[in-house]
Amino acid sequence: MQNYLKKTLKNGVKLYLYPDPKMQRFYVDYSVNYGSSGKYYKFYYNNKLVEVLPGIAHFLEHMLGEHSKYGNMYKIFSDKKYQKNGITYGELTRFYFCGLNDIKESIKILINTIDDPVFTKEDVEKTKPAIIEETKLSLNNKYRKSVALCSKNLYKNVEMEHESLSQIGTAETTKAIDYDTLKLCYDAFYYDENKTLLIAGNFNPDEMTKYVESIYQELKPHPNKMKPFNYHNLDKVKKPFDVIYENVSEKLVTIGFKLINKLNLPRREIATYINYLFYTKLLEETDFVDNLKKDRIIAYIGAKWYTFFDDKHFNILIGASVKDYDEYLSRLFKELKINNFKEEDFNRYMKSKIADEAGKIDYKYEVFDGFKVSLPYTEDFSEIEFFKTLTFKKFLKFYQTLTFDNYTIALVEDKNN
Amino acid sequence: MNTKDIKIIEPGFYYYQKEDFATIKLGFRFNFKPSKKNCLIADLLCDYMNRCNGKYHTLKEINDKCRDLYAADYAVRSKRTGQKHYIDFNYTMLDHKIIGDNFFKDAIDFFKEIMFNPLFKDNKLDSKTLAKIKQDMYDDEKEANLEPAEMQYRYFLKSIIPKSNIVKTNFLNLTELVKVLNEITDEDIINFYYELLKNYSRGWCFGNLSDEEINYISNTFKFKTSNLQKDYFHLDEIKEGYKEIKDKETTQSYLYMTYAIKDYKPEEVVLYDAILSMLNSSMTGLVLKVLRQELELVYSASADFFTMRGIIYITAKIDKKNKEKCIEGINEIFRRLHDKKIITKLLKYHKEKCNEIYISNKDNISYYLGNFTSYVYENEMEEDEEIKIINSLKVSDILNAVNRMELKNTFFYRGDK
Repeated sequence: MQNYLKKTLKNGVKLYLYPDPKMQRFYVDYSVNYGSSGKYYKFYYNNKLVEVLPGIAHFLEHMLGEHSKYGNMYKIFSDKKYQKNGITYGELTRFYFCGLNDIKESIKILINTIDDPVFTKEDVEKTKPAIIEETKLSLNNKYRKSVALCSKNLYKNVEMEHESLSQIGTAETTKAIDYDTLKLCYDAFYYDENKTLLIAGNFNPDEMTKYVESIYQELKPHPNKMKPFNYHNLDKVKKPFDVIYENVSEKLVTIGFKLINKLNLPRREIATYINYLFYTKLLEETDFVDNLKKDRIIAYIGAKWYTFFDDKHFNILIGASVKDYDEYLSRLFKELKINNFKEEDFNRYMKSKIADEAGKIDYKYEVFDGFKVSLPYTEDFSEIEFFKTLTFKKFLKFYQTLTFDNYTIALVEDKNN
Repeated sequence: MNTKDIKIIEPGFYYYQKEDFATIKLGFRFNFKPSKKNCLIADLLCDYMNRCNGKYHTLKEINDKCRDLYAADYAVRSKRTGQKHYIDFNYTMLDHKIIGDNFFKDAIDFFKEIMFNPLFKDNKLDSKTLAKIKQDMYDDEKEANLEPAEMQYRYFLKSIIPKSNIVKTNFLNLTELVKVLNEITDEDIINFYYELLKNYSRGWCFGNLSDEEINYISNTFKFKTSNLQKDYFHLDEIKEGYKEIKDKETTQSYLYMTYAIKDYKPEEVVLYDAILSMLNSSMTGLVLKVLRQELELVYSASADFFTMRGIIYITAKIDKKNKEKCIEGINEIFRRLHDKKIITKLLKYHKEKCNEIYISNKDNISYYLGNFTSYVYENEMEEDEEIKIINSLKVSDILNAVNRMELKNTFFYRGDK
């Protein structure tokens, strides 16, 4: 896979460069480590405690991109026939474009749009109706609610989710967002060292670095005056069980297990091991799931994934549509604790991971190619060598540290029952 | 894509050699006669062939073999385009030259098992697998029936073309689904499979293959091709008028306004694609410009085009109280589509964008594959020819095309929660 260059600019912004003479287009992605997760609802700014409503990160994404000193940045990029967007994830907000021409000018526009905001109180009010419509999409999704309910109760002292179970808020919370709060959150989280700029395309890396430095030289520095809120008791769950009522054919059950990175492993290693664990125990083809379905205990195992709260704490979430709630839980807990892993399965899994990585070359020029998109956040990009370093023995050592006895259960019951 | 690079290996079997990518891809299409029962049989057969075959009896065995073959990936899918119903067998395998382990023949033979060796023992299917598939199908449909976001689209399709099989399973009523499922016998499915093999349409392979390898593939998959006509195309009679469905389970409402294109021919697809682009482009397109930016009624709205049916519709997710305003907004969009000045600007933008995409997509596997398979299956023109037509479009062509669009149906799915 293509090598990349990682640099830290004079102001602290991280810069990733992918010079590739074969690329026709440029791909430029500017991101900040700040998103819609509830862990950002509380923080210190200038040593004062701040508490905000949900949806600020997402609202800011709209304000910055749509009301820049150039006008609507997306409109400008659209006129240049670029692919472009702004996206807010749980812990990341991204702005990107992908296009053929005027790239240097567009890099300048992108950086200035994000680093020199000009949005006004009137702009904030004008943007609210569209965001209110967007919040409705989230509120009508019962699967999303099930996960959010689980996530809400994972940490005792952290409001990971708003009571509406929507990370981008509701009509009411959106209406309550004001200019001052948005500006405060911008000042707090969009500091230089918290941002990453990624450029892929056919360019000279030294020249590009110089050019990017020159853009920042014209901007005011944005120092860090934010301190994250120090959450205590991260090992305790807020509520071990919670229920909501929706229109469902079977119970939707999401279990969130709280786990600790006792071996101090890098996130991508943990991620690979968890995926192998899912592969062994929770895929459609496994005896465990096959029997659950055959015995009419579940309709299906739905989403299964992991999230990191920080480098020490992570979670595994497992969703299922369940017919026999008690039996499902009993079998699941038992299954997770059985060491039924086989070295040949592990090697087979790694073989397919290596092949997946080799195959990614087919998509390396596509905008949504995984390695480019995820790099600023996880540094987890295509590296066949990395998978070769993982062994069954290492996995077992990791697995032995997992205790599946600290969890919360979110249940979505049929409201007609 | 240049058709000169496409070789016809056998009548109805095409090969496109590209050296730039890591994977080899194969596909074979077989047509079947559409009916409610046949569509369901096709879905059952596909699922069955995806889960087991005569050599690998379980999904676990199949998936283990896939992983041993460096993440080989296959899919048997039932689809429809226009009024054409067919089953596609698609396969992706890693080019062994990249890994340095020659598993080519083994990988091709594995796909052969999938296609030619379904698990039919003593004229019966494996009863457990089939029962599981039927149960899953029922569970999925039961869940879908409770999902407003899914059902609103099915009801919309049903409201515009009541007699068509356009809806995937076409069962808005679970009792009917169970009845037809129970009527289907093993013999029906087995007979359907053998009949299907007689109705070969086209096949293809893509990647970097030696002569010996391509011969091995063509000798492994030998079919007699039927004469391919443009029979995907079918003009439907759209049911005229207004229909409203109320749903007390969602706050989200959906508005659809559907237009029939008078005397539409499939070769006009480029012309109407241009109109679709004028409606849909994210910043310049009329749909979001009017409904989102000017009227502030929606977050999400778009236009869609059934290219093989000559139908264009605009859909918007709205608050129920905004229905009339949204209808007026869509009417305004169509008034603007008659404005020469607006069309001139939008057409210029569309042409420039298509030309940029044409240049920039040339290192993208999806671009090659999409164009290649469209060429093979639907005799679609190659991109070089298409771009010439796009560049020759005149404002008068667009105005004439818009004048042939007639509003036939308005459908409102009213979220009454």
